[in-house]
Amino acid sequence: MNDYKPHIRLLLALVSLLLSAGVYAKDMFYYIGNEMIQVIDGDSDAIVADIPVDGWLRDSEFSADKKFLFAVANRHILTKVDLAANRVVATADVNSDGWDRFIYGFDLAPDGKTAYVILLSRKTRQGEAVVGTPQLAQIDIGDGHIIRSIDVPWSSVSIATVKNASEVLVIGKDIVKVDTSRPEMRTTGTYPMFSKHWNILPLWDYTDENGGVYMVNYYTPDVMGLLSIDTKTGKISDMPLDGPPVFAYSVIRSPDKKKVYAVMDELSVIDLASHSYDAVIPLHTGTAYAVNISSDGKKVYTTGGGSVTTIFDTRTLKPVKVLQMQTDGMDLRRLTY
Amino acid sequence: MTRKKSIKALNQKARAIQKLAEGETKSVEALQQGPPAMPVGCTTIFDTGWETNPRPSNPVGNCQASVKDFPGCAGDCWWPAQVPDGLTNHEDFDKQCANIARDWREIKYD
Amino acid sequence: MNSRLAWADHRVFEHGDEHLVFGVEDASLFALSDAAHRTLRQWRRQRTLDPDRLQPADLESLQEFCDARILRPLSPKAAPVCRAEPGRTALATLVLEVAQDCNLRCNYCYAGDGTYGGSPTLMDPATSRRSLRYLLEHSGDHEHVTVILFGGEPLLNLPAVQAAVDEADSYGGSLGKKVHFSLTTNGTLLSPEIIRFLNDARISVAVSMDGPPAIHDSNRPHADGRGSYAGIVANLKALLDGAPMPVAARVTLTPAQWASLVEVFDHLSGLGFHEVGVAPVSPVCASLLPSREQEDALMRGFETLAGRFLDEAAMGRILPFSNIIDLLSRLHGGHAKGIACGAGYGYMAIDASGRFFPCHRFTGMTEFQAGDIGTGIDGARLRAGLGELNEGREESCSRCWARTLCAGGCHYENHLRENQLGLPRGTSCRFIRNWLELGIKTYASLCSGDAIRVMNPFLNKRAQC
Repeated sequence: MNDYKPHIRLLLALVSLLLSAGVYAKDMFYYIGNEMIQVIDGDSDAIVADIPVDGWLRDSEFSADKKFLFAVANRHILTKVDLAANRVVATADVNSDGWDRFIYGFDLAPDGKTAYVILLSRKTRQGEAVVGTPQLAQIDIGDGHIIRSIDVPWSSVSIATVKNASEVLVIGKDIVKVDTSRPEMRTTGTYPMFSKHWNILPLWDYTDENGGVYMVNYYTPDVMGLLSIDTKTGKISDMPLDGPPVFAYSVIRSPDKKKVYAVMDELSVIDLASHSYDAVIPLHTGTAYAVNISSDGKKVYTTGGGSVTTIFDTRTLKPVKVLQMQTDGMDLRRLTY
Repeated sequence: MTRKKSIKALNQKARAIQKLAEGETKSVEALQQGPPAMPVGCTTIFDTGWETNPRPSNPVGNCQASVKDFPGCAGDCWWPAQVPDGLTNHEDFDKQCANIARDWREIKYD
Repeated sequence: MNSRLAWADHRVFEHGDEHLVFGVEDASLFALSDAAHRTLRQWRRQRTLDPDRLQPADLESLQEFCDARILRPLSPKAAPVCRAEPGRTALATLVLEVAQDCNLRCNYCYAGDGTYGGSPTLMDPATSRRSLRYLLEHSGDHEHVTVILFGGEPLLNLPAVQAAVDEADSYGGSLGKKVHFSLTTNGTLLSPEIIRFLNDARISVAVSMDGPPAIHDSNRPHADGRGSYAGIVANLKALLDGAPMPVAARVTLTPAQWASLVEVFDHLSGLGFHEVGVAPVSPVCASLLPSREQEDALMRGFETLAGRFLDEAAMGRILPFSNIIDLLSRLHGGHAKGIACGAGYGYMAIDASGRFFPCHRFTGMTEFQAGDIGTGIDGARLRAGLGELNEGREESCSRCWARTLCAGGCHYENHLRENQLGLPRGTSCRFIRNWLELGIKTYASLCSGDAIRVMNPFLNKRAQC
């Protein structure tokens, strides 16, 4: 296991100094894998640390103070990683009272102590399966207990907390708006998608990397489009794209807000001004789930599916580096200092 | 197959073998439509979990190895069969097999 | 890019004005049209084919061979073979040599006048019971097991026979298992009482008879030299009339008598036997080894009877010739053999003293003894004995088209020829292949007419035996 702890601390100290001077931004990428998170230095594109975790990881988010990474293991164990020490410092299990629970979607609340999640649940009673209704829940990230919850429709798999988490948008077949500002949560409206024959698989959330814009791709019977939610205002907008649809698991916006990169078996470049595709480049390393981008927009990272991260130069759209990861993984997240 | 057979099965074994071949032809047709070669269904329940390529890019109309979708589809059990489901029966499958391309020999789930 | 194709092991037979192809690994049998045969002839000279280099028309004509698995994707590795091991299979059949003694002195007997080289011994009824229990207790999941009452002459030891039948009813019944009994007898001791007992116990009887009096008596005299034919026939009608199970004639012929095969068959079926099975004698001594001419004469006899079988089948009747029936059933099912015989793999023999042998032929041969009723079947000794006998045999069989129908042949025959008579391996092969080829062609003829529809249920049932 690589452990460059002292090196990292010094580097971060130097970086914060430079940042405060407004000189340059330092990217660190976190590969969300099985039984492990691996840390990639965004300058050297080298793997600089391995963080062992227990379980298979899915949703993840950085704390606002950039000191911690929260990742959900096995869909029910909230795992807290100290980013200075590069190790797991706490876990919290949302299972309780005989209920098996499954977390889909994860957004930390501004209070730093709770998070919003979608929970599916089931238990066994006298040999029969009892399935709970899907819930939007606010949970305590310290011990995993449910503070409050509200029923949401089946197929809800992702959330966007908007307007400083006074409202949570639950994305599934449609988008359900939930007012969380009062002690009791309540549904306030629905943004229709299903009736428009939209199809969506919103499992990768790069709201933070996008600067506060939740963005996922959707499909109609004819085209692919981009669904965006401005998390400051809560405004939902959609942009159908011209041309035959590409296939993508995840999308991310470029820092200059001009392009969107989408990935599945190819890396597709979408031009937002013309709402069309600039290029579609087959991934020579095979299918990837996740896409991320350096904070200067010069490099795109594709990973997930297998255990390979492929890095592209966004100007030439040629792959410049391939990293062999230790394990298969789901996602790559960027933390920028 | 309506084409007249120029090889006629005589014993039961031969008939069984020819019947197998008939079955194979039909199912290949059912998984793909087009051009463009659009997949009609992601996997059938008895396949290993192939995902067909509907794009005109390589491998054209063909399948790619399920290894590239294994981590996402195991765990949450997206596929109906042939992968360990992390939600119920095999929560620790990834301990045996954290990297499917490297560790597939270690899989002991059934 | 498609993978290369390779021809699977197969054999082409000319059959009248058509061609047959036998797929060796699958034991599959196909008839080829003229066009298909031309295609095969054209392409089989190349061991492997590259589909990318073939014209679409050629690919189309070769597709049917792919469907038939005569043409297969080239594989760098051979398919893994399931290896069963002697002594590691549940028992299904036990030969009970209740009497190592005999009242006849057949001149070709492999059992040395019934004693298997020892002194005359009768199995203790207690041993008989223990043997039944051993079989039942080691029969795994089998709901049905078989006991073959044998000897020498089993009817010399009725107490042991009775004990076996009783134990089967009581103990077998308590385990929920059914025991089928067969009995092979020289037929000289079939009194009305014994016949009644055999019928009540529903024992399938095989009577060893070698044909008309001249042939039979020259082979099978009493100890005092007089022939046994007359005495057998005197009781035969009673046996045949009341029998609840079919009664078979079990024939042994020496090479000099092989030319009389058809005459023997006709005579015995004429006596009323429900089935007649002919065994060419085992060469227990060098004088019993056949010449090529004698082998050919036997083959001509088989061919004649095969032709008769087809004629009868066309009339919706079954010629009661066991050899042909058994072979056709196996070809019908496409049973590919991995091992030549069940001896040691679920079939064992136990002698009058309670010692285990892989089959009755090996009784008395210490190098093949594998335990006794006291200590149980000794798997290691079983594997050692058969293993030594068959060392390297698979390799020498590996290039023979008939290997999945023959799988090396009778262990005892091989032991006699190779170990006792010092012959090289493979002296039976020509004959065996000719016999199997006859079976294949006879089966193909059966399929070409309506007869196969009549035969289907019969062959299906027999194939399960």
